[in-house]
Amino acid sequence: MSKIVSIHSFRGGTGKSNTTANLAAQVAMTGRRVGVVDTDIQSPGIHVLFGLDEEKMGRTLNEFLRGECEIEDVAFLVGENVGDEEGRQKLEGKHLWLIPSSIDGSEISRVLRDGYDVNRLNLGMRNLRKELDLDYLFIDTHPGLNEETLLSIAISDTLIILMRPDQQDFQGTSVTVKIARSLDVPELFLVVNKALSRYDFDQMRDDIGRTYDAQVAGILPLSEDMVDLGSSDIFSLRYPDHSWSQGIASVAQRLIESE
Amino acid sequence: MGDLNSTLRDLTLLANLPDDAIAELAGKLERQSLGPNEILFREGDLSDALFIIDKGEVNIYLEDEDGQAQILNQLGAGQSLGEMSIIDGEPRTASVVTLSTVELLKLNRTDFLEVLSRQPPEVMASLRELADQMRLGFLDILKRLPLLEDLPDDAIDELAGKLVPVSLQENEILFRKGDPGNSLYIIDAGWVKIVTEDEQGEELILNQVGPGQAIGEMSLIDQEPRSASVVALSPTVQMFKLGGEDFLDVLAAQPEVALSVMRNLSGRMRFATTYIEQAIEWSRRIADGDYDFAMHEIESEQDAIARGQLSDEARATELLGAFFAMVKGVQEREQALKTQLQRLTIEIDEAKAEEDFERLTSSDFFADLKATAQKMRQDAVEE
Repeated sequence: MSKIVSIHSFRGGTGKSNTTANLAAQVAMTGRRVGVVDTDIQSPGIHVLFGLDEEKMGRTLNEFLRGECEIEDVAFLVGENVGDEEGRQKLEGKHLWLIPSSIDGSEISRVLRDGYDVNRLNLGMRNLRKELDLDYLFIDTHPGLNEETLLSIAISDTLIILMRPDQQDFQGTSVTVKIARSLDVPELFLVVNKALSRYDFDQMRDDIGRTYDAQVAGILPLSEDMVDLGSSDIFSLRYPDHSWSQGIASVAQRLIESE
Repeated sequence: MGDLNSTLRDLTLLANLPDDAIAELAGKLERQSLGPNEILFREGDLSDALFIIDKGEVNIYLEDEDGQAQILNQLGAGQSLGEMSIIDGEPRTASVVTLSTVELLKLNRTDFLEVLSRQPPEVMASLRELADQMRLGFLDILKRLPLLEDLPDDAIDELAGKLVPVSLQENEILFRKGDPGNSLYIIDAGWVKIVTEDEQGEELILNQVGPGQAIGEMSLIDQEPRSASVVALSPTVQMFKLGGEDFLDVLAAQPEVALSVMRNLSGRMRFATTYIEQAIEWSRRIADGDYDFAMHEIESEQDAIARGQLSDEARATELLGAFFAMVKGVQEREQALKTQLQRLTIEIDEAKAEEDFERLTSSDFFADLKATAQKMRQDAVEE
């Protein structure tokens, strides 16, 4: 069973990369084979969470898109390069691959200027699933609704829309939900991140679920501890008892349950 | 209950009265019936009668300033109330309330004094002396003491000679935790509380001790400072003090006393174990956020206490109840916080959302995408 899961936000700053990395890590911890693709070519960021920096980065998605290599050449096996951080160390030996985008400035401006072939991206992801025999392929997208993000929504088996509990995100999510339904995405989950503790989470879950007539997979609290950790490690592996970590674990659980 | 004469003779005070006095007093006995939860008399009332319980149970209790009842004892059929009061007319030292329907035999003081006035003067005199002895203690109390119940009469006599009467008023401190101490106290009348302080300086009641019980044996035995403070609860508390040296003398002469003391301490250690067990269980539950457990236990044990089932568990619960009353306060504060949680308002401009949707989906790109998406999914399935 193989699933493509896109994580999407209408605006930036929702914590999408962190959420995607943690979600992928949680699923990988169950022994499943997990891939993560950073399709946010304009502003890649998820690689930091997996301990990948300029030095360690080999091939990138950019090179694949230009036809310079195969997709499996880009795949970086996190499970064999966990590094020193406490959280990531738990991924030792797990089947978690990262397909990063280039952080090189000239690379980025090049792709912004020339664009890329979305079909090639699509093909790449299909091959990746086959080559690595993936159970899950997580797509970390650029915020907003543009051609690339619409594509990732279109090819997803599961779409997770991540939002902060504020009016602009609510408005934008409304459009995204309509689009997802129009594209017949089989499964749709809403996740609220950075929720202030003064709000009644249970009530929020009900209200949001009703507003969009969609399933709310989790309400994740705003956490100073996460801000503190930044992107240096996988928070939910490092602090499994934290309420944010428990929240993300139950989102992962939701994903697995609907297999 | 048998004939009234022998009922009267069962009372220590009246045991040695001449037959005709007993017969006359029996004739003066009145029957009184009370329903459950009726107050027979209150602390401070003038003592105008002696009561013998024929049927039913009563609770002896004190009321504190807030009107809360502190139950001291429970009596049932065959037991008496106010034996000594009919002689000396002192005010009642505690209140009595019925637990069930109660049938009483009442002997009015006036009737009692009238019958005795027709007896030779030495009868009344020996009664007064006996009453004095009973109130200030020796024979009767000592014989009643669990501490000394197995001792032969000569041991009791020897002890009696060495006991020093001590009186306390309500809230007077007998000794404080940490005081050096070398004597044991035997309570004759009234109740005391054994207390310590928690870290905030709040009083923690560890136990309540009443008539017939001993306190302070530990210092007597191990000569360490007092392990807790003792404070008088009742308006008047009468005790007997037995000094360390005297105790050792008695012990040398009557080794069985040691066994009795050990048995007494053992009973208190068992209570302490029960208390500690319960305190740990309660604390664990409350740490888990389970406040209902504590409240439920307090309520259910209060029923048990009201029914007079003063087991170690019930007493431990009663004492823990005071300590964990703060639990309710914590719970209430949490509830108050919860209701202050705000509700997030979600306002979506549907018209605008529709507009944006139309704009995004009206492109050729989107039309293609929609068609391709279906195909892509089909391909994926077929793979």
